[in-house]
Amino acid sequence: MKGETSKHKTAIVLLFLLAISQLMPIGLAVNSDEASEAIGQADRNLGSAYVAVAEAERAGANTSSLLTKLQLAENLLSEANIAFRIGDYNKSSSFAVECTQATNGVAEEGARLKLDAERDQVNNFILIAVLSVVGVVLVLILGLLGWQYIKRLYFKRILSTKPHVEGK
Amino acid sequence: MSLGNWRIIYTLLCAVLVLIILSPTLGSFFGLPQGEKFSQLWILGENHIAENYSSNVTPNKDYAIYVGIGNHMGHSSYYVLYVKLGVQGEIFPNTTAGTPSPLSPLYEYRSIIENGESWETSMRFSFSNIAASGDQLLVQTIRINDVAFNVDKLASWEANNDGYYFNLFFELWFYNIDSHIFQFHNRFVELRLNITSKL
Repeated sequence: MKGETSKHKTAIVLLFLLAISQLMPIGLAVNSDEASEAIGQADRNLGSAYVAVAEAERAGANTSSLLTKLQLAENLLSEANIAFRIGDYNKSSSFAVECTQATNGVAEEGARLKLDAERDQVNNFILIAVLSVVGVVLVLILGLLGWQYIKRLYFKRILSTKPHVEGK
Repeated sequence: MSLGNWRIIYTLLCAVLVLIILSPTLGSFFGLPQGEKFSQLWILGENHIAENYSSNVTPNKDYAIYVGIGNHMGHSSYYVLYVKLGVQGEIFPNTTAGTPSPLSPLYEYRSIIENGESWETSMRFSFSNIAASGDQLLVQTIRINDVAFNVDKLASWEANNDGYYFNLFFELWFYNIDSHIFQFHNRFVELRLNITSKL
């Protein structure tokens, strides 16, 4: 009876160890497909974030702080790719996940900056256009008045000139 | 001078003044012309000058170089610099055809550079696990910045250049924001390395 209990205990321990050994690789080891998928995701995220920041920059936004964040992410992606090439998939996946995390929120912030910059650009354009129109109207009015003045001066000078008769 | 001539001069002066006043509006509407857009790619020797490049390489010895990129594209650019190793007979980048080398990259650098700015880094490399057999030389490992890559590159003896030559080259790619992919920038620099001494 005692021997049977002992066998049961041993069997339970073995089953427990077997279950752990089956679960451990899932938690720790990463295969090439998983690492590749993580790199792909990081690459796409970084690409999208860069596009959003580049568009914000082209709209005239100050994107320096976002570029600094992306510079950290791009280094992590490089590390992930290098680790992948030497077959260190755990490290590769870890760097890729860190890269994805580093790009979180950058695309949204870039889109927001772009909208702000576009709004500022439209406002600036309207202001410049209004000032230009006012300037042109002023030039036309002052120009016409100036021309009247020049004409008056011209005729005054002509009239004040003594007639000169040529001949014998 | 007749009044007609005065009128022409006066009208011209007013027209010039109107154009000056309208120039900011016209500029933001049509866009101002920009200068030439290009990227620079350079490689410097270990003394950080454009000479004393490593050429005759001893196995298991570390060599240092500097690589850099300058951005004059008119906007910030996202670059990747791929480090590749090739031997004679393999396909290298072709700047006439605008095609990169199909060889797999070993190492890479990524950098987002603002317009008018540049980026530079130092790189160390060494060759190890080298075996000579007849008129061929096998390099099994190249170490770049302490990362070892198994390359298994076989170079044949180049009688006219008196050595076994390996090309360590750097290809510049940039991220095209319209197509959302990296594109070869048609620029590369290379070091031609002769591994002959102290095998």
